[in-house]
Amino acid sequence: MSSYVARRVLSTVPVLVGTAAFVFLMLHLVPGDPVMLLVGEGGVASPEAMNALRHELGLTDPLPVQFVRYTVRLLHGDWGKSIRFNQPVLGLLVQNAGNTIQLAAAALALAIACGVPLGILAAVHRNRWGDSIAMFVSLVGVSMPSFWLGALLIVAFSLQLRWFPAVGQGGLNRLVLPAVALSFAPLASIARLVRSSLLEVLGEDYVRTARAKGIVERTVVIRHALRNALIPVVTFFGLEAGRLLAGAFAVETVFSRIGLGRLIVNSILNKDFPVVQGAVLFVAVLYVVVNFAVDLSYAVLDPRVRFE
Amino acid sequence: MSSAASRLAFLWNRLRRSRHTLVGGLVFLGLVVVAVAAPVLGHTDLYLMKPQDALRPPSPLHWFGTNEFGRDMFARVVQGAHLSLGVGVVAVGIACGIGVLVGLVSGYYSGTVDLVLMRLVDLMLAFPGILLALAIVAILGPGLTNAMIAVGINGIPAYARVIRGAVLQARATLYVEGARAVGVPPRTILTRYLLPNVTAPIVVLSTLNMAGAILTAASLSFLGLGAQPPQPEWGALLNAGRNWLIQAWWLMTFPGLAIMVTVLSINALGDGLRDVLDPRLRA
Repeated sequence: MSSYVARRVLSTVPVLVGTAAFVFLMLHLVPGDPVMLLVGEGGVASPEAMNALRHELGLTDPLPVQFVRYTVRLLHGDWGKSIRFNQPVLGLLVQNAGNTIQLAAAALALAIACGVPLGILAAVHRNRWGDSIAMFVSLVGVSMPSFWLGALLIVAFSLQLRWFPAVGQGGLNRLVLPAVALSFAPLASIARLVRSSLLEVLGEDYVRTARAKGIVERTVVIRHALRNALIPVVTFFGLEAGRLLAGAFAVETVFSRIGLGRLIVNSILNKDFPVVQGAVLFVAVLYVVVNFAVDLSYAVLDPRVRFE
Repeated sequence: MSSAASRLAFLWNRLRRSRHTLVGGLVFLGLVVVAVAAPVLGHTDLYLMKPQDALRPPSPLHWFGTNEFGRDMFARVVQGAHLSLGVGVVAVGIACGIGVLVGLVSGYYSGTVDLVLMRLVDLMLAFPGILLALAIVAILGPGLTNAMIAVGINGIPAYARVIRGAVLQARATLYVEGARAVGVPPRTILTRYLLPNVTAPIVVLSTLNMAGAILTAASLSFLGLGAQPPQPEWGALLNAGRNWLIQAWWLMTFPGLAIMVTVLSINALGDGLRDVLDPRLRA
């Protein structure tokens, strides 16, 4: 197991370095002067001051030198300074990340809690009404923009029924509607995946054996088949967690929630480039970490993975 | 009957049996007709402001109501089909063109070329969902064209991966080995021998990718980073309607329904095509 962990840790290094390189290059890919991007358009008055700043920021050095310096700074926790907020970027990101992670985690929990039973229902009732309904619900789920669903939920449950507050954060009741809106798409994907995975496992010999022994069908499905059927679904959680983080961006906007999404979108619109760079890197790193954790849990669940 | 025609007849027979594929295909066809015809229909009051008609609910005169400037929402949603489906087509074109090329080259040449290209693809996959598109929009600047490019680039890795896998399989076949043995140049092998063998995954992937592209582009526009007002792209319409959610429910309802029906029909069609053409792609 430890050699598997070591190999897996090593495999994240090139991805992390590549991500940092891309984020570093973003600054140089934008048409215009990088100095302007780093200090803001109204930031510098004279060309002399601009040149002085260019030297001071090291923008006259060759790109590889700049990249090494950038990476060292990142590792020391210096992710630059926001033009708009005049605050260190990393602090800003950490402040906002909590809300987004909370929303994404709530949505994922909801998606699993509803998606897995829906998938089981579909597989057990294969090619019958239950299956058709479950699969139609999941097809609608993957086709609906989450931010639109959020708006419909606000109209129904905040404005008409007045069950939940429409906007803002803090407290469980403000989390319900955005989490439901965000959970629908992954719920649908999980249901489809559980269905196909369970159908495959239900055809295996050991399931037939269990049935032949006279075990109740319910126990066969839940105790024998589902356990193995869920293994591929676990990998999916990692992928889905990343998509949820990114998908939270639009949902945050609908519900006027503070979070990484609003931060990154507003930073793009306000040309607060250090924050844009930091946020892109932050979410990518978070995604790598989540996938790493999922892969480890996968190796624990399925011993075959470790010996690949 | 030629072999191509008999193959098509066979596929049609299989597709015909799946009801939701047929319905999805027909709805999508209808939407394409609307999207193509929208500019020709040339609704006059698309951008015309009529303050006296502002925020009218749906009625026989204005099927989808009017917005805060008195513009007819039905005309705007119809025109939006042209923009939103257009975005989907262009984005899929970019993703498919570059992705297939990368997949073909990577699969055929293997070695260093493959290693470098696939590491780049892995890197792109490290940016989940909409994040890469956001980063590209941050570089290029907000706007409909840039959003299209961003969504297109976002779709490249899926093609590159799938096509590379298919090429690796096809490359090991006797006819490709034979072609190489008699000295057929690599370009000809790639375009005449390998490409026809990977059309099925390309068709399936493009259909499913189109649905994703329309959704992602709508998200970008909704966030104010894609189509800009008063362009009636569906995501932009949703963004504009957001401020009137309390007073005018119809402003957000109809563009959202349009997106959902479109994506739903494409997904239904794509699922059916996948089952018939390339069952291996099934998750």
